[in-house]
Amino acid sequence: MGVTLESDTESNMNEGQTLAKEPLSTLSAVPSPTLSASSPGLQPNTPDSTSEQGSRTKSVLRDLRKVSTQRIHRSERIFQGTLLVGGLFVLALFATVLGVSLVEAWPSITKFGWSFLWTSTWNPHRHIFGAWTYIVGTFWVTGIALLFAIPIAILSSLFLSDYSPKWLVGAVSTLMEMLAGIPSIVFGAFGIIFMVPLLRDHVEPFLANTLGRHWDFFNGDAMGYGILAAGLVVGIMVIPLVATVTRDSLVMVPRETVEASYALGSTKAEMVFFVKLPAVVPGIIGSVILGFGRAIGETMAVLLLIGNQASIPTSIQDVGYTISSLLANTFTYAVIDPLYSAAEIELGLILLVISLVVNTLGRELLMKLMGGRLAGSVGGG
Amino acid sequence: MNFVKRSFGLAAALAVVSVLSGVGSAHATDLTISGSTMLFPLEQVWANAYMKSHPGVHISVASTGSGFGISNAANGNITIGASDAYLTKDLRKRYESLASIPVAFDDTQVIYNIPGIGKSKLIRMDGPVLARIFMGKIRFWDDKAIRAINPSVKFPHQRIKVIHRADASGTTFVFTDYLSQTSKEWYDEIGRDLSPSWPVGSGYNGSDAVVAAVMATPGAIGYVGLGWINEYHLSSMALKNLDGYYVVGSVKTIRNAGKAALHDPTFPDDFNRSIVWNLHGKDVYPDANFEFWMVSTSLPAATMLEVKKMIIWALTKGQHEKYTVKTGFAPLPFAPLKPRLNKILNRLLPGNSLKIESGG
Amino acid sequence: MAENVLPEKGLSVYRKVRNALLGALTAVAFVLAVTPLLAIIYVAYDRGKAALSLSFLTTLPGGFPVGIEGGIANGIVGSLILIVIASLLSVPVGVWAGLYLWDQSHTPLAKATRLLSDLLLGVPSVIWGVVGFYVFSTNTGYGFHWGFSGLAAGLTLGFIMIPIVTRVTEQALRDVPRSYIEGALALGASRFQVVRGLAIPAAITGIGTGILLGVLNVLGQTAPLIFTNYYNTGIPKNLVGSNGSVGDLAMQIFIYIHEPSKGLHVKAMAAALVLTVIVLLLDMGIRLLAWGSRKYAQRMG
Repeated sequence: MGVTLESDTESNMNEGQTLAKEPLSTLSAVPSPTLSASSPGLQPNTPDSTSEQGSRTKSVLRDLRKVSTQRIHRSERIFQGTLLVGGLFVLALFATVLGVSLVEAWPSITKFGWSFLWTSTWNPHRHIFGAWTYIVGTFWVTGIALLFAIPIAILSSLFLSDYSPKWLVGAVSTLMEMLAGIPSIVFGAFGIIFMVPLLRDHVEPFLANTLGRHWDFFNGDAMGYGILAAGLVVGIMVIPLVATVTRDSLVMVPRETVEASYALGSTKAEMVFFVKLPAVVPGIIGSVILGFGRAIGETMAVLLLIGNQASIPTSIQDVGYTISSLLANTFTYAVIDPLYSAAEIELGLILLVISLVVNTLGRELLMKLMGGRLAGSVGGG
Repeated sequence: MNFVKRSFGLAAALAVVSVLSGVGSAHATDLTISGSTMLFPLEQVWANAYMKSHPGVHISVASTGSGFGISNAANGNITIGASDAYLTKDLRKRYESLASIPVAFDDTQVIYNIPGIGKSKLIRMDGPVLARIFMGKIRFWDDKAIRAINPSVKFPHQRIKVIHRADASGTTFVFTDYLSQTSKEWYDEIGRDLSPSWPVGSGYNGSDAVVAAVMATPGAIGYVGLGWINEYHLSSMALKNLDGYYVVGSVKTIRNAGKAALHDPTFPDDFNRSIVWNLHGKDVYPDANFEFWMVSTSLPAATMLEVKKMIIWALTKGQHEKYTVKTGFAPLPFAPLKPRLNKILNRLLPGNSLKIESGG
Repeated sequence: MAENVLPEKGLSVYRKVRNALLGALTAVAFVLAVTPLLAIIYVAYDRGKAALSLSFLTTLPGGFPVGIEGGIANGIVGSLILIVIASLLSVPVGVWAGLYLWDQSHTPLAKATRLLSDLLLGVPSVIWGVVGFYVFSTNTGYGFHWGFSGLAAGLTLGFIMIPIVTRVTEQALRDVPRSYIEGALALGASRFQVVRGLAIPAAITGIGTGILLGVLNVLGQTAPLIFTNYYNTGIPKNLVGSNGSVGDLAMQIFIYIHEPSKGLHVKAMAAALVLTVIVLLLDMGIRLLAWGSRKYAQRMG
């Protein structure tokens, strides 16, 4: 689910940016009532070296410097050490995730090497495993999802930031953000009840009869289930995420830029589309990357809708298989055979690496833009 | 701030208290049975009846697929794992503490959804043609191979949409057993497995989802057990057996299969052998199977006690026709079974010999 | 007056039309974006309303097929159990780690920890499931060997919550004005006193928001549950061991939607509606908390 973690952008500007830069521990707090010399706010007045007041100040400064270089009181050290344990938990968690994945995937990594990535055979019976089919399937679903979601999300974000009437802005923004929190199983159920019959009986035959006459890609069998169903539903899930993050970048465009554009005689649309939008391209890229990260890890909605067939899709109506659906469908059975489970975990490792890289990229891009606040969703399911 | 902290703490405390009190008043023992989706209808009926006559026990039944049933029972994740597939030699070697007990008798049948063909029309199918359909080599319902076996049926020119299982399935095991034994193509290229590499089609989680998909998709073909066919009044195909007869699966025809199999004196004591195809007889269904409950002998003693009680109930009262035949299962043929069952149960109840009466 | 040199008054027709069209386009896009989401809620209500009632929320499923009679009490109670367990793990660990990141944020180790915590936010749910399987459930290897149980699943969900709580705690602490901290230190308070008496209480609504955000994320998770708990049609007596699995709202929807029975589909939609309503209420609660704390901070200056 994508609920934005950042709080209101106003507090962003005032306190978070300037004050958060300086961490607490540069202040060496001592339990005796002496002042700390390294804290900027606690500095005495700048020394005036020429007057006799200046020499007194100098000796005060000397004392203060002496105090600040004394050992930090033991109770403070203990406290700092205790805090460290908290950080170690996080490190341990990360090590566990990476460790379990690597260790359990090791038999498969050593057996198949790099060719695992482009082998398309997956035959547990004969112990031949290859990731290609699932990687392709994952990218098909994510691709369709993004193709569908990005234009709608960006245009919606423009609506949220510029075009919606002032009295409506709060309501529609909140609406969009709340819709981002709907669990993915609900989307999956909706997909089965609503999307599959719609695609099977109307959309897919339509595509086959129109575009399908010219391009084979659109000329597949209408099944309802498949990459189109999964891609569209994942796309619907990703729209609120991309829209709200893009909206947040748009809101940060400085007023001067907007007013300069108007001063040069632009219409509203010209300002929005040709000035504001290009100004937030890094933010858009960041939000798209985050959406990609969310889509790629999506399991439940895809599993219910994609058709779970290990073949590479040849048409838009075709079925496919993604890494996450395969794992959810077969993993606790695969453990009866060490190589089988290792191959599946290696698939998971590939997914993990892609997700980590993509999510970090998106987050770093957006952090640069938003000045230190965590923007974007912490979703997925 | 204080209010928030206090109310949050209060809410959390209330939650914990309510949960604990709820849990405390819950049942004295719990059993979780999951696995075979084929056995699922019978298990639900059994669970309801057992819980009525044994208040204080709660049985949770889930259909996750025989593969999950075997694997999770072997790994101690669930109490009883249900499977349509017997334990092959490799599995037995790998999981020595896993005991498999036959508890029911069922089959795998081919279901279909052909527009224009009513339920009363009988469709015949043989192994080689079926294999070619599931390999994607026969793609339309009015293919000449299908018409050759069914001269009196008018098929539409409709694409065959193959529906198979996505999860590791015992139903798939029994089905591919039939295909492997009747079609050399299938045996060479794909083989018999709980989770084979399906060349075509789309996959669904559980027989329940297969039924739903076949019912909703015109032109679909799929495979599920008799229990599901009875529960949803589906029509199934008549499969060709070893002697050349086309037989529809029903309690009667799978009972015949069971009798035919058990007459073989070399039939193993633990029932771990396929009874697909290699049976003679006019009314013998060629794709029948035993249903097994897998139990790890390393379960804690208290749980094991309840498990044994449940198993004994299933093998005695549970075999009554009002449970089995009503849901589309054949009761275990008891006469040849008793000494073998005694042996298996002794494995679970060392030191006790149990008297099992025929369930009916 | 050189009319042919001066630009025409106002905008060209082309620009006027383009302005209007593009504006309308954004509105259309917004409607397109929001409609499917609202449609989901509407469809869930429409198809599921037949099953909604108080007894739906308070009775256990039964009948044949199981679930056709009764309600979703096992799912609601099970989800609650899982959330409590997940919070019991993630709140102390997350707040602790957040404190560390805030206090020591200049050290390289803290920077590395923050990076790793953010990386953990991006781990796909199936990987958490695999980790939970090996660490908590399965009886081979070095894990806890708890089987498919509520404890195993709850702790796995706790794992998922930890990076969320950590991150939000750190941010909430950063939001506490420097002047407060420095003032307390100037008065001679030790860092521990500052943390316990000042920083945490001031950041408590932010931390609360983070916990609720984590719960929001974890409520709808199904994939990790498949590997560590699966499902229970009742409420278990114990939360550990092969018979210790709990029900869960999301899993319930998943299971019911697979059945061919139309009656179970109705219940699935009703359960989906219940879950969505819970999520939306939680979301609103988070917003109110954040809004309330901002108002408070503004008043405090």
